[in-house]
Amino acid sequence: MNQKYIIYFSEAIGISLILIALFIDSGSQNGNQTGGQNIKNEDGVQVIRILARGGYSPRQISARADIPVRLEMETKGTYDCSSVFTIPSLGYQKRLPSTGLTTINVPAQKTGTSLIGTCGMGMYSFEIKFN
Amino acid sequence: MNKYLFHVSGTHCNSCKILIENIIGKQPGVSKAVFDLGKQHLTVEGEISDSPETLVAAWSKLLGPHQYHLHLEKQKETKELKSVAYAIPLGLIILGLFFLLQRSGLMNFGFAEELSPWTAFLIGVIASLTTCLAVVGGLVLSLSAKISQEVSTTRPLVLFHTGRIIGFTILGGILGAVGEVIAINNTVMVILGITTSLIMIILGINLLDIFHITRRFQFALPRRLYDYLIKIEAGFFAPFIIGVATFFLPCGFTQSMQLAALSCGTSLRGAAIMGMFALGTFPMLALISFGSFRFARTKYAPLFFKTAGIVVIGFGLLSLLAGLAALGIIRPLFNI
Repeated sequence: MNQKYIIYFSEAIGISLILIALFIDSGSQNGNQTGGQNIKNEDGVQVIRILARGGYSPRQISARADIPVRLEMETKGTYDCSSVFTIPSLGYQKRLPSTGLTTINVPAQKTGTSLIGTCGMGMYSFEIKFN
Repeated sequence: MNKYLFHVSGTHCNSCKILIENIIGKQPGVSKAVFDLGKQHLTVEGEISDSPETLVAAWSKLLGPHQYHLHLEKQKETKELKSVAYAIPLGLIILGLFFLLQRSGLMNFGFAEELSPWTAFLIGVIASLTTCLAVVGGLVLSLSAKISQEVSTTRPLVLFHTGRIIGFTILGGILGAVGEVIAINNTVMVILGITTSLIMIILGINLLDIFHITRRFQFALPRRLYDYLIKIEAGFFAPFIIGVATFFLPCGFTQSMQLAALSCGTSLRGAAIMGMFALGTFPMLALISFGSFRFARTKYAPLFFKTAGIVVIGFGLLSLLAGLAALGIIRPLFNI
């Protein structure tokens, strides 16, 4: 009987640890959401700057549709997965320098679509929503 | 001519079958020993004068060191089921702690612009605690646990780690010398990663082995291959080569270290960076592999193998889903 409680108890701990981890994630996601401050307009191009280090930030970006995008991938002493950058839907892959700025020109996207960037093995990602 | 039936517990795989048949088959008077892995029955035929009780006592001493137990009566499998009941929560806790460590942001710091071999060492330490733990650590855990079930020395593990460190140093030197000529295509890396994660999931299910399902469907290990596995104990090549091959295992940190080695210009520097990186990952990987070996030889072995099975399946699923997201097949489900 006692052992049963120990098992249930540790099962509960395990599951709640995973849930806490997921909760921390959604919390930082909201904090990372960007609608304007990281997006500048230059000569009819929206410039989006993303920091790649231990993941990407911001991770949720809303941008305007039908306007070309210039992605500026910023790295600052980045040696983790996020330095191997891919945009699967565009077939784009690039190993970012450990420190520097890499620009990627993305053609205008349609309303309601989104663009997903991931790191080499897909463990980190970010999403740009066009509306 | 007499015929005896024994019940054997503690077996995991077809290699156990061959090992038991080999040991018992050599005993005086025994002309034939057949072990049925599904039923866990050992049938022995021959001109044997001793009583079954004496045989159990004598043969248990031979099988004991391999963690097999011989009985006349069928043993209830409650012990094994109990270890599954403990393994599930334990595995979940380990996976939960891993996720929590990733999400905490403790591991997301940047490094100085100039990459020194010492920084490479530190990056190695961090790599072995973060995303690389899911891929390389998971594979090391499943292989070590599997090896611990098959062989009885740490030699293959020592050779594996030696191969990994020497291999990284030499290949790093080559990268430094040839410079930017070679670049490994990321799609190839991702497919390699998906293959690795599938292997991990299969090994994990194998380790978990609830109700011996996998045991029944397991591909029968040919005797020649088994002899080869026995040679691994004394052998040198296979574990060493696997260690070297981890250079090509997909893991973001390894990839960016390779990039750093490529762009640093000299072979000496490339070798220093990659070698120190491999050294940095050593403590954690050594803990995993030698820890598995030690646990496999205690009475907690069934619990350990099953917990390892759950953790390995979790890591395997994690890298499988991530790999599919990187190929654009599915939406990224999570961010570590």
